[in-house]
Amino acid sequence: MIDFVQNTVDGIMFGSSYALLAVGFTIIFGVMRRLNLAFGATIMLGAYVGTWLHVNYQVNVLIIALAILASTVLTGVYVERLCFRAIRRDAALASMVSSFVIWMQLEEVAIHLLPERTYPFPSLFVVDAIEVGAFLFRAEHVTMLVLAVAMVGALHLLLHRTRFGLALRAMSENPRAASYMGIDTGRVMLCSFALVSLVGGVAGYTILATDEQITPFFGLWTTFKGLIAMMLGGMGSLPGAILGGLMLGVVEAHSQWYLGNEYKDLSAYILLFAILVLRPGGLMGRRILSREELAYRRV
Amino acid sequence: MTPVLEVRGLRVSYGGLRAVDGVSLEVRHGEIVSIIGMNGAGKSSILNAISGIVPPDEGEILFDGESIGGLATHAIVARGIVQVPEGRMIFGTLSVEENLRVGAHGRGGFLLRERTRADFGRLFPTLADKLDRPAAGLSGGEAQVLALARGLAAEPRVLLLDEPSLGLAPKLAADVFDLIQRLREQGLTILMVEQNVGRTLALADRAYVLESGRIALQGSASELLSDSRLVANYLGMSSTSSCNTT
Ligand SMILES: Nc1ncnc2c1ncn2[C@@H]1O[C@H](COP(=O)(O)OP(=O)(O)OP(=O)(O)O)[C@@H](O)[C@H]1O
Ligand SMILES: [Mg+2]
Repeated sequence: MIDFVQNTVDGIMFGSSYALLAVGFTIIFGVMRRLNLAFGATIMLGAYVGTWLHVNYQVNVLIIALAILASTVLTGVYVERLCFRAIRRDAALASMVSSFVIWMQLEEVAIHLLPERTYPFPSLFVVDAIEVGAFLFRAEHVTMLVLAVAMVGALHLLLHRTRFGLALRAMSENPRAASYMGIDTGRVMLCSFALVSLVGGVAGYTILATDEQITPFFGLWTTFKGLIAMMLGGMGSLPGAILGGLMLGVVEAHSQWYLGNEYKDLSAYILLFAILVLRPGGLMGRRILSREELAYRRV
Repeated sequence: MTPVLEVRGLRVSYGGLRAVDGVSLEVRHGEIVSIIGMNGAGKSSILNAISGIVPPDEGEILFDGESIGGLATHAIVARGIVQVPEGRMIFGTLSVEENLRVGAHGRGGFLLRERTRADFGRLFPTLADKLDRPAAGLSGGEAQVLALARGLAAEPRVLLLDEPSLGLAPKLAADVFDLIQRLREQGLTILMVEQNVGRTLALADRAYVLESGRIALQGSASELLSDSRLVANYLGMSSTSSCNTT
């Protein structure tokens, strides 16, 4: 029982970073109706810039964190300009394919920065695990959860209390109508990319500070985790992305404990399969979709 | 007096197919001007060209004598030309109030002005106590009223209305026409597209009759009402078509 609770809480803590990755994918999907396959690579390039600073100059962790955030945001803006802005609205497939190409390009740049192998990444702070009764929590995991909760809270406020947030939500529902109402859709897209890249940068940083290392597979890894978590929750749904991320974390933690490390990823895929068979739109996706359909039918 | 809005020699096409073929029209301050025509005549294309939604092939669009051709839609809205698009396009996942605030976005705002709020309560009493509801739950008539109110929240100088009575039961359509009448009394300039020819001409000052992308007839509403060509082609047709749509 103690194991079960411990694993569940660990899963939720680590899953909170999956949730942030999924939020990044889902916001762009909502605004653009396109999958940004370069998102994981965007985070990877930012992380590599930070690692490069660490390896070569041994700078302070705070500077590394800031460098990662700055370079993910810049890279996100680059991705938007190159393969989402330039490609016509209705050519969704073309921009998805080009975002895949950019994924490769960004990975290539990262690997040139630090040639292929594993590099050490500095942990945020060196403290012992926190003991709560019979439970033991890693300080990094707690930080991860706290940061993720803060990010989600800030996002919620941004989406519901600001002019940009309202424009983003309007555009996610109906870009054409948003344009009629005088929303500068190009600017909303650009700002959305900057925003999700910031969220992704935070997720990437906390994951690496926990793992204390980075490998050239980091881009692929973040892409998989984010996409699976998004699919679990339902594409385009923000609560779904959070739920999906947490669920993925918990399932991974349990399967790793009870079945062994080699079943961790497999169980995630089985979970995705099961959800997609039982609820084809994802956990929250269907409801959102049918609500939207209803909206279109009524109006 | 120079017109507030003037369109000269407008041509619009979609993938080589011409939808609007050399249309010129003007709207003066405080007028209601209507564009009448059958399905596919090119009415929406004209409004969309004015709003900067579709790029024209040729022609000039002047607002207060200044060219607005080539401006992005958000820049055109910011100048004061706001369209209430065909099919209403309200945001079903947002609340009624948030829909209005998206309208206010067009004039650079975020919250509704007190005046807008007061106008809203007076002009749209049916919606005033549903501000917190998701817009998806509104009836067709309420949705159309919300679409109008959202457009007004942008505080337009010229309002473009694309088939505001489309799909509404006759009673609701009559309410919408009443509302448009009241907007005019407040000094708003309106360019509207309608298929309900009888009602529109009763409301409008002037009208243009569009056929296959060209203007076939134009004149004051009263002149057109007594024009036998219009009566034969449209008034007869519109009554049957309104039976089909409602
Ligand atoms: N986005 C588009 N792509 C291709 N063709 C279009 C597009 N929009 C309109 N058309 C075509 O252009 C012509 C004029 O269309 P438009 O929508 O302007 O007509 P309308 O008078 O508004 O018709 P309705 O009364 O049905 O709304 C039609 O033949 C239509 O099929
Ligand atoms: Mg039309």
